[in-house]
Order: sequence, then structure tokens, then C-alpha cells
Amino acid sequence: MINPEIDNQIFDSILTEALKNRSKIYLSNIPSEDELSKELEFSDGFKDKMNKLMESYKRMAARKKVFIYTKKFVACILIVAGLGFGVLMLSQPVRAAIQNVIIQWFDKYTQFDFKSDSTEVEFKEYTLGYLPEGFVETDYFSADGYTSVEYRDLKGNDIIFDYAISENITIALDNEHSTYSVISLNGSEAHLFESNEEGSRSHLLWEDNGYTFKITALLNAEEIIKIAENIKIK
Amino acid sequence: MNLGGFLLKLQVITGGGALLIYLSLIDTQEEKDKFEEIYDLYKYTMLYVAKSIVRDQLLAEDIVHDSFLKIIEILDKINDISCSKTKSLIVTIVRNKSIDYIRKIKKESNIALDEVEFSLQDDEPIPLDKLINEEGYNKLLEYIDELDEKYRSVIELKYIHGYSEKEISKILDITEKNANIRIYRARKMLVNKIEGEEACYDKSGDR
Repeated sequence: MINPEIDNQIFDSILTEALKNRSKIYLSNIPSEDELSKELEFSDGFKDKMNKLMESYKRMAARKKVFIYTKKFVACILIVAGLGFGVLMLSQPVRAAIQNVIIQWFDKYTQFDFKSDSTEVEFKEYTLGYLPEGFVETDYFSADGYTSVEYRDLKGNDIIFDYAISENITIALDNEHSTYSVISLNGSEAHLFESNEEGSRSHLLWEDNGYTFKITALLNAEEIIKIAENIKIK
Repeated sequence: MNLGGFLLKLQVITGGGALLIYLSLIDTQEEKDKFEEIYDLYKYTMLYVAKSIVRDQLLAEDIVHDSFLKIIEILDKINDISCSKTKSLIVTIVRNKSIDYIRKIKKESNIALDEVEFSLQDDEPIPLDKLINEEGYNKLLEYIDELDEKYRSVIELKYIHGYSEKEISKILDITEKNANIRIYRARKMLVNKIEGEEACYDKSGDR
């Protein structure tokens, strides 16, 4: 034994090499995808399930784009705003003292940058404790600390419940077709964008315990607040 | 600022009243395509691997489906879809899921490793002299083959792919502590086998 630490490093190097070689041999023993496609077949049930998964993934990926951007993406938005939308007015960032959120007002939308102080937020699943009559869960997607659940009624009206760990989240909401107000929600501050145009959705956004929540629905403010007040851990 | 990496497509959609900033980045589009590409490129390989372990078509299909759910979660970790490293990662996920299914079917006890006392401090000297020759190296390959899948998966993810314990825990659906313990145990078992000792602590199942 030269030195336990050096021995460990040498062992790790040999082990890495051995694992790589073994993996290469293992993978080379698997017939090619082309060969396998002639031998194997998927059932119709599997194909249906995968098509649904793909569709659901695409839909939710698009929704996720609206809900979450990383800081990198936000920088991109601002650059584009400067180039393509010269009329956009950027006010001084307003840092809310209690919540860890930076709010920026543009002439068409309001941008919220949420940040979490805690480095480790335990992943929790939330659900709606109250749902207006006729709504049922129709879609669910969860990945990378972000969850989006869709509820629909028979008329096709939807309620979107999004939540994510408040780490580098930016959300942009319409302020052109809605009236903004700060409300109290279970003792916390929440941001209500109440639609002032028929057929457009209202949004309620708030932060709690390291999570950012958003409810979007074509419902009146009272109903949306009632839904928000009754969210619970699954 | 270099915007070359981005596909800038900022649209203000006011339909329905809600302003949607549709920011389509190459990253995002690639991510969407990535999933389909992985499906096209590896679905039969995945079925083959799952079927070779569980020996049942429908069960194997369930495993492939579940593996894709896991792949969605870690899509950002996959860069070059067609490289052998990606294939190895995907095969590891499928193998691990297949073994999980078998365990569930066999209703093996699932004692959480967190509950099992285990010291990570009792390091023993590594018999490098037995390893640094062709025979020793080939023996090591054999010993890796003999490892239980749950141990082999973690060291593959750590040493081939360079994932952290946290990343491994996410890929394999285990706790970070269990990932850490499995790596330690796998390494320890290999060292013991090289020394000619039998590993004596693979009695409990874990999660």
C-alpha cells in the first residue's frame, strides 16, 4: 500500500476502465435496432400508450415554456424586448421585502422572478382540495420539480394548476387584459390578475414554502381564490 | 451577448386574454425532438433488454413505457442521442426498471437502507498488486458481472457517466443516501472478491 488515497484513485481508474470495457462488450452483444425491429413487435396497446405519452409531453413542454424560464432565458427575453418591442417600458425592479420575488412591469405583461433562499426544497406533490362542480382532472405532467395539472368540465373550460420549486423561476402574466391586485391568501401575499375581458382567463400567483403556485382559469376571482385557499399536499 | 445559441421566436399571443410569451429556444425544440429521437432509435433495444430480463412481452412493454417516463425526467442530461454513452444510460435505466419489476413480483422485502446501520468508514487496503496484471483485470470484469444489478447500475452511472450521487438517486429512484451506500458496497464487494473474501452483506433488499 503506497497511500490509501492514491490506492483508491488507482483502483477507481482501473474500475472505470473495466466498467467501460464491460459496457462496450455488453452493448455490442445487443443486436442492432434494425435487426431487432424485424424480430420484435410492440402491441397496439403499447403504441397507444406511447402516443399518448408523446402528446402529453409535447403539450406540457409547451406549457412549461410559458411557466418557467431559467435566468438565461429571461436575459434573452429582455434583449428581444429591447430589439423588437422598443416601446416596452421597464420600470425599476421592485423587490418584495417579504417574498423573494422580483417584479418587473412591462406595458403588456408583468414578470415575476422567484428565487428560493433554501438550497434544498423537498419535493412535494400538491392537489386541489376544492374544485368547482363539473371539473375533473384530465391531464398531469411532472418533471424536474415542475408539475402541471389540468382540470376540465364538460363544456371544455379548463383550470390549470401549476407549481414548481421556487428556484430561478420567471413567470410572465398579461397585465393588458387584466386588473392586477395583491391579495392575502392564507396569510401570504398573492398576485391576482383578474381578467377584464370576456373569454379571457384570470391568474393567481403566489409563493409558499419554497414553491411557486399558479392557477389559471376562466372563473371569477372568488372561485380562483377559493381553489387556491384549498390546495393541499397529496 | 451572443444569441447564436438561441432560436429567437418571441410571439405575443393575446388570444384568450392571457399574454403568452412563447419563447422557443433551440434547447427546448431539441428537447422535444430528443424524446422522439430516443424513442425511434432505442425502442426495440429497450424492449429487447427488458424482455431478456422479465421474459414477458406485456411486462417488458410496461417497463419500456416506465423507462421513457424516467427518460423524460432526465432529458437534459442526454446530449448526443446516438452515442454509446446514451445507449448505455438507457440500457441501465431499462435493466434497473426490469429488476425492480421482478423484485416487486417476487415481493422481496424492501427494507430501506436508511434504516440499516452501515459504516462507511471501515476502509481496508486495496489489493492493487492483484489487480495490475491481465489476469487480475479479467477477474475484475468477472466480479463486475457477478454483482447484483442494483450495485452494478450505480457504479456504471458513477464511473462511466460521471453522475453525482444526487443524479444517480434521481435516475434510479432511490435516495441519495442509498446511492452513496450502494456505491460504497459495490466497491467494497469488488475489493473483497479480489482479496478472495466473500461479500457478506448482500442480505437486505433496499430502495
